Parts: sequence; structure tokens; C-alpha cells
Amino acid sequence: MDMFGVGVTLLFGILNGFGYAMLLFLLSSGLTVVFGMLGVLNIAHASFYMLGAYFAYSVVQSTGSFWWGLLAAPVAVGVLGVLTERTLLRRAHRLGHGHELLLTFGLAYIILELVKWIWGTGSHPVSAPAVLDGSIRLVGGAYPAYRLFVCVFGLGVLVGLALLLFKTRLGMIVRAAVSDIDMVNALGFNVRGLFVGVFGIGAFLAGLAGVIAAPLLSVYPGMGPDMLVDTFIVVVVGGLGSLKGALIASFLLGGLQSFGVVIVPRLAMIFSFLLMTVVLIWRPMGLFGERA
Amino acid sequence: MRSSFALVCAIVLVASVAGSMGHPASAEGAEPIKVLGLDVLSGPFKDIGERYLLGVKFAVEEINGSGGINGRPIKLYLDDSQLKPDVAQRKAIKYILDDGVKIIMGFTGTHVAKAVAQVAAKHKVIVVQYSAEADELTGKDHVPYVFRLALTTSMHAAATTAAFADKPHKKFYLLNQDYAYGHDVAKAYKKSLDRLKPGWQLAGEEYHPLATKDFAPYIQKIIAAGPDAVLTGNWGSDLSVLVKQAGKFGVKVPFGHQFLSDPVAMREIGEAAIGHFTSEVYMLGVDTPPNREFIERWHRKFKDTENPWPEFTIGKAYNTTMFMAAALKKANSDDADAVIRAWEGMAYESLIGRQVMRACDHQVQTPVAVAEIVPGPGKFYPFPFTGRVTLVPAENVSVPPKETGNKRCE
Repeated sequence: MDMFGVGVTLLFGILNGFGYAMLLFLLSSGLTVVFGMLGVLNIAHASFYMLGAYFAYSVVQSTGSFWWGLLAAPVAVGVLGVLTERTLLRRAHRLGHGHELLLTFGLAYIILELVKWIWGTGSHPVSAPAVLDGSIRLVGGAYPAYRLFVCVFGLGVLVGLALLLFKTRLGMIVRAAVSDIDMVNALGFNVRGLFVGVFGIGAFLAGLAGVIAAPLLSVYPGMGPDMLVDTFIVVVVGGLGSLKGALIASFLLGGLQSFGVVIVPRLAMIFSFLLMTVVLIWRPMGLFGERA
Repeated sequence: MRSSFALVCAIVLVASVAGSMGHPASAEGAEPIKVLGLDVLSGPFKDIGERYLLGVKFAVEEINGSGGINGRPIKLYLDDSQLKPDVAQRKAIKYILDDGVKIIMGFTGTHVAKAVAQVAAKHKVIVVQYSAEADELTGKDHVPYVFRLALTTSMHAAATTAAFADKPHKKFYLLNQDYAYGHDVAKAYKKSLDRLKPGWQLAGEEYHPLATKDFAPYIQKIIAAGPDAVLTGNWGSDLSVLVKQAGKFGVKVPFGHQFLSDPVAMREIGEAAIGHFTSEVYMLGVDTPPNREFIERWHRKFKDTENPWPEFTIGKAYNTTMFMAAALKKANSDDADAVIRAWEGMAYESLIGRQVMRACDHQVQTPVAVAEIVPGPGKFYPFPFTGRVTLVPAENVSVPPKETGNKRCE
């Protein structure tokens, strides 16, 4: 391969990794913040992601517009998240972490069966909007426009989330609650309201990831479980409860997948586990975590 | 969206009704031949098992409607293998011991097929496979009670390779799933390329993890390698995601597939697969008089259902059941040894042409349908689907007996 070809491969590799990293970050950000506050890994988180994709499919089917799906589906999933917290998780919270974990585990199964019941077991297409359906000429190669959109959109959400968390009063309280929930409670803040809000936003982000992923991947009943492992790895590598960690771990995993396949394809199956093992040996609490 | 749950209920209900009543006058009173259809009817792959068993059921209704097997009706039991070997074994044993089932048909999943073959050997019942393609099932792990009317991985790869035989393509790229099946497929492709495309070049050979989400890095490598065609045996989401993403990256070279004649997959993949090739032991587009009549009979009955056309799963299962019925007629018995004696070496005029049950390995020798994906709407579906079918003659896909690894073939 000539220098130019190497350059194109490098650029496309970076874009591929970036796109996947954005998807991972949308998913893991909600998961890690919820863990930070509630102390529970929400197994049903990837089910919210799957629901986002299926809702988007139904909305696109009935309205014919991807943008309506992008608007409506994450909101619907967010509302479901709020309902889940208020009706189920809150009751289990009193009984301890074990019950909460079991609850989300059961919920994941129920959602999976419901999805199969409503939408069937086959896979469904969601088309990217017409504007983004083609490809863009980039330094002598064609790159799918929708993938560029995923990169830009993900970056936008990332900036919005960072502003919300680090520049607003609400964000300050959430960050405080992640590091010490009891203290925040003692200071007189409405911790219950905070739980609901954060859980809802986490579900919203997972739903958003589902919509974004739908045209790239396939909408099928296994899509949640298939994504769950990578998401957990990102959260663990980044450090449980750390948003910054989730972001950096997403980029690490995205880059590793993208370039690893080119350099050592035989190890593709274990890249994510390799990353986790190496990081955990070096820092058992994850990159930015405070608890092991 | 129609619920598949209702479909399962319908299958089970109709099967039990069909089994318990309504035999034609000629077959009344005669001892029925008891057949179990065992396939996956729950979980993510249930739509596949359901469609296969619909094909079996339709064939059994036609057989019983025209006098059964020399006057004996077929009594069909249907059950869910759950795609689990232990469950399939347990259910097979139950039907053999409690109901006197003599023939078991199936199975999605090589692991399930292997498990049931062991039960068959122990209880001396016949196993008839309309699915499960791993070479060893009629090769080194073959149990003589097993007959396979599906292709083997090697035959399937040879048929897909044959699609390129008279075309100028020279450089082939192999991309497959990283597990035993994916490696077997790649090996089979290379072997058939050696035979059918002398002087071919390997542009690249790659294996990706099962259920890969982002194929972008693999597609980039394909583009960089610049092959004339890509050969793969991918199925499920690895098939649809690969083809769709390759289309988005502007990959224009044709792919050779094994599982693209499925309307469920094609409905989702759509235009990205246009110009790709696929092969199968049965396709809707097979243009023989018996197949045209079969499609018409099916469509008349099922045109308002989820399966208006008897696509590859239904057609494979139907054809398998009909060849089996012909063998049972010839044997004039459901005793396993009598069936084996009658079926070995037997020829049958099937939907796709003349099939022969090879005596030594019980692997059907058959022409194979090859077709290119053409834009929709076509004769059968509104979306892109397999176009005109070419039949690859049986001898071009056949694996010589000595190379099967089957001891009975040495």
C-alpha cells in the first residue's frame, strides 16, 4: 500500500473507531451514572437500548421519517425508565442491592420476551434519512454519510452532557450524589427525585443509542445482549460511576476494535476482554474509579 | 405485526387435529406411521423452525390426502427442540417410547442433529434431516440411521463457487465467522475454487467474531485488498449487518453467500444485496413443472398468511418429506432396517430434479439452485430477491465418497 492508501486507511480507521466509541459512550454514560448513585449495575440498561431501536423502527414505519423516530423513541424510553424507577426499582431499593440486581435481571428477560411477542423474532430494517443515506468523498475514498453523522451527533450529546453535569447546579448535585449519596441526602436535597431523574436520563440516552444504532446495525431481539458485554466492559474499565472514565474507555475500545482488526485480526474476539484485563491488573478500580 | 405465538399455537393445534382425524377413506383403520417433527419453536430462531415444520405438515397432509403410505396414514407429532441437544434428546426418547414414533425429522442446529442421531441409533428409529449442514453428520460422525436431504457445508460452498465458474472473477476474498462452521466454510470454498476456478487467487482470508456489530474495519480491509468477489457463509445478523454495511461503504464487487434465499433476511437487507449470489437445495425460482405446481398449491392455501410463498425452508422440508414418503412406500414398512435397505441408492424425481440417496453415507446427491439477487418487486416479493435460477448439476457439487470421512464409504 502506498503512503496515500495508508493515510486513507488511517483516517477511516479513526472515523470507524470514533463512531463506535460514541455509541458505546451513549450507552455506558447512563449506566455508569446510575451505578454511581444507586450502587447497582442495571442489567436492563441494554434492553432500553433495544427498545429505543424498536420504537424507532415503529415510528419510522408509521411516519416515514427517521427524524421523528430520533425525537420520539428516546423520549418514550426515558418515560419507561422513569416508570421503572418509580414502580419497581424504588420498592426493591429498600431490600438491598441483591434484590435490585435481580429485579433488573428479570426486567431484561421480560423486555426481551415482550419485544419478541410484539415485533417477532426476525430482524427489521431502519433506513437512514435520505440526506444521510449516501456516502461522502473523503480523500479519495467513499465514507458513509450516516457514520459521519453518528460521530458528529455523538459529539454533540457528549458536549451537552458535559455542560449539564459540570456547568449547572443540577449537575453539581448529581456529581455530589454519585460520590456520596448519604451526604447529599443529609444536606436536604430531594434524593428520590434525583434518582428518578437520573434513571430516566440514563434510559433516554440508552434509547438514543438504540435509535442511532438502528440504521448501522440490525434491529433484532439479540441486539441488547450483544451490546451488553461491551457496555459493561467500558463501565468497568472507566471506573464504576465515572463519566470521564466511561468516555475514555469508549474511545479505547472503539479504537482497539477499529485498528486491532486491521493489525491482529486473530485477536478480534478478545480485544475488549484484553483491555479490561490489562486495565484491571494495573488499576483494580478502573481508570477513574474510586472503588474497587 | 402478527404474533408468532399464535402461529405456534396454530401449528400445534392443526397438527394434533390432523393427526387425530380426517384420514382419507382408503387409509382408515390402517396402523398409522408415526413421525415426529422436532425443531426450534421458541427463542430467537423460532421463525426458522416454524417454517420448516409448516413444510413438513403441508407434505404430510398431501400424502394422507392421496392414500397415505400404501394405505397407512402418517401421524405427525410436532415439538420444540428449544435448539438444545439435551431437550431434543429427551423429547425424542419420549415420543419413541410413549407414542411409538418411528421416524424423527429435523433439525435446526448441528449440535441438535448430532444429539438426536445418538438416540436414533440406540432405539433403532430413522432420522431424516431437512436441515443442519455440517459435513461430519454424514461424514466421520455418521450414524447409519440418519438420512440427510439438506446440503453439506462442502456441497453448499461448491454450489456458490459454481456461480462464479463461468465469470471472469479471479481474486477472491474469504470473510467468515470465527468458529468451527466459519472455518469449515472457508476451507470448503478454497477446495471448490481449486476445482472450479483453476488459477484463482486469494485476495484475503479473514474471520470475525460471531455477532459482530461493526464490520467497518473488515470492509476497509476488503476494499484495500481489491478482490473481484467476496465469499462468505455468514448467517443471522452477521449476514444482514455485513451486507448492509458493505453497501454503505460502496463495495461494488459481488458476494457469494449461502443463506440469502431467505425472504426474512432479504426483506431487511434490501438493495444492498443486489448483484450478490446465493445457493440452496431449494429455491422458489426453480423452474420445473412439479415446482410450479407445488408453489401454486401452496399459494392457493396460504396466500393470506405470513408465508404466502413456500420459500427455501418450507420447500426443503416439503421436498424432504416427499422423498421420505417415496422411500417408505418402497420399503412398505416403517421398520428402520427395511427403510434403510429401500432408501439406500434410491432415485427420486424431486421439485429440483433428480435426487439420489447415496448408499454409503445417506447424503442426498442433488442439483443445487444458484441465483443472483435482483431488484424488487419480483414475482414473489416486493423487495429484492433471488432472480432467475440456474441449476448446478449434482456431479459438480458432489463430494467423492472417499473424501467424506465416512467409514462406510471407504
